[in-house]
Formats: sequence, C-alpha cells, structure tokens
Amino acid sequence: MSRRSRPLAFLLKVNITNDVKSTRTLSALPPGQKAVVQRVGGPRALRRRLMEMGLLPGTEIEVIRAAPMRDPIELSLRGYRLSIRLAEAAQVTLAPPVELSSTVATDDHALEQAA
Amino acid sequence: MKGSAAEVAPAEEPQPARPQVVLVGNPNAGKTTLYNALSGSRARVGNYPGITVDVRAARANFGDVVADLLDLPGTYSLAARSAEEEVAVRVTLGHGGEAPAAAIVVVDATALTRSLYLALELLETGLPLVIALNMMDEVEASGATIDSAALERDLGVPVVAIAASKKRGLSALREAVERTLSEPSRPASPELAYDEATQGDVESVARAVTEVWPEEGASTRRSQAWARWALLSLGGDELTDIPARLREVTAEVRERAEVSGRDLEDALIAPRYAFLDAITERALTRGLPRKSRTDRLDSVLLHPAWGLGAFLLVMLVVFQALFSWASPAMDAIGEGIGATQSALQAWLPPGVLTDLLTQGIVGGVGNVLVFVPQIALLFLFVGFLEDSGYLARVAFVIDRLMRSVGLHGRAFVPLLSGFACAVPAVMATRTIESRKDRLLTMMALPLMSCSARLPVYVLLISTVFVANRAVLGPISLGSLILFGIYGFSTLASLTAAAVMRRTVLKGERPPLVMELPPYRWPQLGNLLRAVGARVRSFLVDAGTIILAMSVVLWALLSFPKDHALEARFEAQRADVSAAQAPSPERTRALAALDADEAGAQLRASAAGHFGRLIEPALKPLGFDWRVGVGLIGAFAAREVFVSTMGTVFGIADADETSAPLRQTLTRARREDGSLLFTPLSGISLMVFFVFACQCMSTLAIVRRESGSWRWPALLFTYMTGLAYLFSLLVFQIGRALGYS
Repeated sequence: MSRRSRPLAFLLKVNITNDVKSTRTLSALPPGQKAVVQRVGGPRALRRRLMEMGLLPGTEIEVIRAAPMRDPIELSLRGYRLSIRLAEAAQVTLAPPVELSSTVATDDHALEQAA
Repeated sequence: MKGSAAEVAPAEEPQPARPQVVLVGNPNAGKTTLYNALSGSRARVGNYPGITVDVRAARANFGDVVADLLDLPGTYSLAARSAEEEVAVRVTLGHGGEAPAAAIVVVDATALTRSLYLALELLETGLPLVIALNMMDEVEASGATIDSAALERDLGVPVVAIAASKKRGLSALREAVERTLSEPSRPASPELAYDEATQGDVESVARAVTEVWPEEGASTRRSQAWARWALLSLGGDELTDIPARLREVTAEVRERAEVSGRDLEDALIAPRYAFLDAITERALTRGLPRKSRTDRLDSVLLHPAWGLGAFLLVMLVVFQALFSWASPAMDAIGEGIGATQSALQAWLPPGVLTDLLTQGIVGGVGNVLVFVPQIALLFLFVGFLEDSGYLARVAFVIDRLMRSVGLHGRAFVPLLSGFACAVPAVMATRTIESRKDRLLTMMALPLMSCSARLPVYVLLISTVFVANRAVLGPISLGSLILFGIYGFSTLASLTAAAVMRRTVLKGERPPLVMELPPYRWPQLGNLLRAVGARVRSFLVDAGTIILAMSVVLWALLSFPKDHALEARFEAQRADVSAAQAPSPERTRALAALDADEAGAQLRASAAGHFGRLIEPALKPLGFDWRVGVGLIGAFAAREVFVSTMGTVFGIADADETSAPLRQTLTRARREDGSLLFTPLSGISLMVFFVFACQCMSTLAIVRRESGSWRWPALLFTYMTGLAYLFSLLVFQIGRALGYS
C-alpha cells in the first residue's frame, strides 16, 4: 500500500493536504477489499465523469486488481467493472470503515501509512 | 449547435413526414446489435457534418409505422465532452433541427443503475422514450431477476426486456415503439429531489437558454433540462457552437455556487442516482454471488504475468496478420491492376489519353485498392477485440506505458498497426474516446516505420553496405541496421507524441475512466458490417483524394513530353531494328533504348525540373537531383522510390532486390565526380525516409479522420522538417568526422 501511495504523493502536486496521512483514499485500498466512498475530489471533468458513472459519495466499491504494471486499477461497483488510474483513485476519499471485517485491515493500513 | 438531425437522415428522395427514432445507450450496451436487428440489411452510414463521427441511419418498421432509425455513438451521459457525445446529444435533443419523435434507450441490464442514468437524463428533457432492457439472457444466467413492470411504473415509460443478440423480445419492443409513436405524449417528469439552491441555479441558466435558443424555452421542463446540461457540460469542454451568452451565464452561476461552497456536480448527479437506487432496489433481485466467466477469464488475462503474455500474444497475431496475411490479397490486387493496364494498352491506340487512363487512372485506382486488405483485416481484428471486451483490457494492461508519453492506452493498437501501414492505423484511432487523444495518436503514428518503407531500406542497405556480412554470430550487418532503423523510428514516434502533448495538443489529459465490459462473443454479422462500413468510408472519402493525387503525380512525372527526345529515340530504335535481324540481342538493345528514353523523359518532366530546382536544398543532405525525383515519386507510396530510381537510372522493371539497379546506384556519381551512394549518404537517405511524410495516402486519411486539412498540413510540415533536419545532421556531422 505504502509503495503505491508514495509515488502518487509526488505525482499529485495539487489536492494533497496535510490530512492525507489520516484519510484513506481509493488508491490505497488493497485488492479484494471493499469500502464506501466519502468524497470525490479532483478536477471537475474527472469528478463529473466518475459521479456519472455511479461512483459517488455513499457508493460501495471493491478493488478487484491492479493492472500488470500496477496501474491502473480495476474496481467493482454497482454490479459492473470500472478501471481508473491510481492518480485518479487518489482523489477518491473513502469513508471510515464501520464493518467489523474491514476494521482489522484498516488498522494494518494505518500502521503502514504511519511507518 | 447548428447541425441538424435532418442532415443525417438519408436524403435521396424528398422526405415525407417519416418519424425519426434515435437509438441511444452506453458503449457496450449492445446498441449496434439491436440496430442491426431492427433495421435489417438496409443500414447506411452517414457522416455527421463537420466532424468525423459516423451516424448510421436506416428505415425500420415498428408495426405499421415506418420510421428512420438513427444509431448514435455510445455515451454514458448527456454531459458531452467528446465529438461523439456531442453528436449523440445534438441529435437526441434535436437541437437546431427537428427533435426525434422518440428514443429507444438501450440499457445494459447487467449494470442496471448506471445504464439507467442516461435514460433518466433523457426523461428529464421530456423526450418520449422506450427503454430496451438488453442482455436479459445474461441477467437470467446469473440468477438475478428484473421486474420490468416495476421499472415501467417508476419511470413512467415503456420498459421492454430483450436479448438483442438472441433476437428475443424484439417484437414486444417494436410494439412499444409503435404505441409511443402513434400516441405521442410527454412522459411524466420524474420526481428528483434537487435542493433549493441548485434549483435556483438551474432556473437562472434556464433563462439564458430561453434567451439564446427561444425554441427551447417553449417548455420549462426542456429549458431546465438544457440548463442542467449546461451546468454540467460547459467549461473546459471541446464543444462548438455554444452561444457566448450561455457560456457566460453558466460560468457566473457556477462561480456563485463555488463561492458559497456548493458542489454543483454532486448537487445535480446525486439526486439522480438516489432516484435510480430507489427504483433499482424495487425492481432488481440479485442472484447468489458467484464467479462469472469474465472473472475466470480475467484471472488469467489480467494476471500480472500471464496477462502480459496473453497481451503480447494477441498483439503478435494482429501484427502478423497485417504484415503477412494481407500480402497475398495485396499482391493479387497489384497483379490485377498490372494486367488491366497491359490489356488496355494493347487494346487502345497509343497516345496521351491511353497513358492517362492506364498509368494515371488505373494506376491510381490500384493505389487506393491496395489498402483494402489491410484495412479489412485490421478492422476485423479491432472489431473482434472491441466486441469481445478485450480491447478495453488492452488499454488497461498497457496504459501505464502509453501514459508516460502522453498517449491513451487505446492508442496501442493503432501505433502497432503503424508498423504495417499508417492508413488503416489512422482509421483505427476511432476506438479512442477523446478527440485530442485521437489527434495525438494520428499525428505520431506515421513515424512508425511502415511496410512501404521496407523496400527502400532494403535497396539502400544492400547498395551502400555489405548487407550479409556477419557481425554478431548469425546476425548480419543488414539486419542489424534494419533493426536499428525500426527501433529509431519507434523512439521518434513516441518522442513526437510526448512533445506534441506538451505543445500543439496541450491540455488537461483526459482521465482514464473506462468500463471493463464482461467478455461476450462478438457477432459475426456485426463484425462484417463494421468492416464493410470502414472499407466503404475509406474508398469514398479517402480513396477519391488518393486517386486525384495519383493522377496529378503521374502527370508531374510524365509531362511535359520532350518530342525532340522522342524522335531521337525513335530514330535510334529504327537504326537498331534495321541493322540487326530479330534476335535476343536486338530485343535487349531495344529494351535498353526504352529504359534510356524513360529516364530521359523523366529528366525532362516537371518532376525532373523540380528535382533540379530543389537540388541545392538536397546537396547538404548528400543527395542530388536524381534522388530528388525519387523522393517526388515516392510521394505516391514510399516503395515507388525504388522503381522511380530504376527509371531515373534507366533500369527497366527494377525492384529492391534487382542487382542491375544496385550496381548502377553503387557506381553513380555526382556532378563533381564523387560517389552518390556512400554509406554516409545512404544512412542520411534512410534517416530521411524514417521521418519524411512521403505518403499522400496518409495525408488523405488524416484529412478524412481529423475533418480538416489543418492536421495533414501540420503532419507533413513537421515530418518533412524533422527529416530534413536529421538528414542534414547525419550527413554534415558524418562529413566533419571524416566519413564520405
């Protein structure tokens, strides 16, 4: 996860705020895990496109896999498959997990990010 | 938005009031299959005026009603950015022209909520709709059920479950469309919960809509639908023909919202999905989750290691097909043209008109037809990859690499095809969504060394080098140089893309937000129709330009005729004929005279004069006027350089492997007595061919696909400029280092 989020932080000169360490973004969600979207950020064209494709606050989303070269990633949402680049996934903030199953994973995740 | 829907409709006879039905839907929703099923075999491709987006139109029967059915480009929403989406919006909303009588919205039932989004947007405009719930067979196979009656109640428009690929549900669909057409009424407005502030914004923009497009202000519902459209679409778009006043007001309203911290995207899109989530909840019963065929295939095809292997294998097959499977057909076309030319020459009296017909026109037709096998093959493959769902995966796998030079993942197949021929490759850029990405790919791919450059490289390598000298074990010098040229041209093409992305085609890189559709078996009928449509569009739109250019080029290389020269050779031929009895030697002597005459005539032609005129510019590259004539001839197609050099040097029927031509070239000297073809000038000339846009067909097809002469002009200028620059550098630096 961290090996993914670090090169991204350097790619995205904008929209990286101080709280990037404490919030989860879609780009850091490992394959096989589900989460709920909290906020869709980024340039207007991207936000509109993502939201019109059904990726908006409240949508449950699962990362299926990353492409062989690690980027882009494949997502499952609303019963279909969507691929977006990691740079774009980094604009999607995820809601804090509430389900028991994903809490453990998130703790791991927080540890890694802190490290 | 001036273009009208009526222009797209077939316009052979004066149109009686035939209602127009448009077919809209997401990409991959099975729209084409449904269109083909509804229209029978009467489909026809129309080109939307001004932009190169194909809109197909056909007559279709809906019960007793005969209507014009228009197949629009696939789109996920009405918020248009690309040319395709703009066409879909223009025609669907009938702006500036006649509004369609009804729309059939093709909905992918396996992705119900997302596909209904477009239907909902259309419903907001008040356009009479019929929703075709496609892919119901797949829904059933997954164990899910969809209650179409419930959807119909909630949406207030007919919803018909179909499976277009199995021709299921089509008669019910036809009936529903017939009912909608014969009892026209506006569907009830869906009750969407836009918040108060947003509604205020929409009303402000709606007033501007009414101001600039009075006819759209006739109904509040419609002007507000346009206002929502403007708020989502305008600003940073590629749309044309939007009144400045509407842009201003929209920008003002958006800024106001931004200042007060309101998010218009969220405020306009979220209520729609909230509505759709609620109705899907009622209508859809999901099956048990299980691994689908797509999941099983993707676990191999998108596997970190196997995935790359599969990708390379598929691309290898496409490449091999273009490179070698097309050649028998291309050779046959060449032979057929040759046979036609000799038959006509034997049958018609000799003269300028016969030459025009055989060499100019029939030869020109050959220049056009020779592309057809590669175009057909490439589009067969691209169609198969696209319809099966793998083309999206190609982009998924390779996007990371392509992005580093500013290209879209979908540019990979066109770029690869560029190694075979730029003409089909440029046509294949249509699978790329955004116009900017498409133009970028189009402008960069002609630098990939196409198969027409190969004969030129082979001739030059074998002329100036000992091509079969082994350098690295079994690897010969010739193949090493050839390999270097291909690597160099690929690098040049990718670099050109990276540079243009930062200059002429600058702008925000469109994000990659791409559906990975389920794998499906392509329908053979759809594939063949698509191939037919592409070939036809090439013949009609680009073929005519190529033919015209061929004739002009032929004239430049043949005229003016030097009659004194003709008379002198005629006298020499008579001498030879008189002095010798018919014998192989006499035939050879006569053939040599013919070849000499052809060379002398070429020197006297306009192209010959032009070659001499540009010689001062060519000298610093190591070429003389004879190479200049070859370069002019090569404009018809690069490999023509070889036969033109044959003519210039008086060698009949030369090809790149012919020893007499090679020997003559090796001995050829410049006016100052130095050798014309040295390793250095040979490399300089090959470098010239790597870069130069020596191909009128490429220019013609770029004109066709970009919709203006601006892009081919830029292509020609930048490629020829680079060619000149690099040849100059090679020759001058080589000379300075003491090579000759």
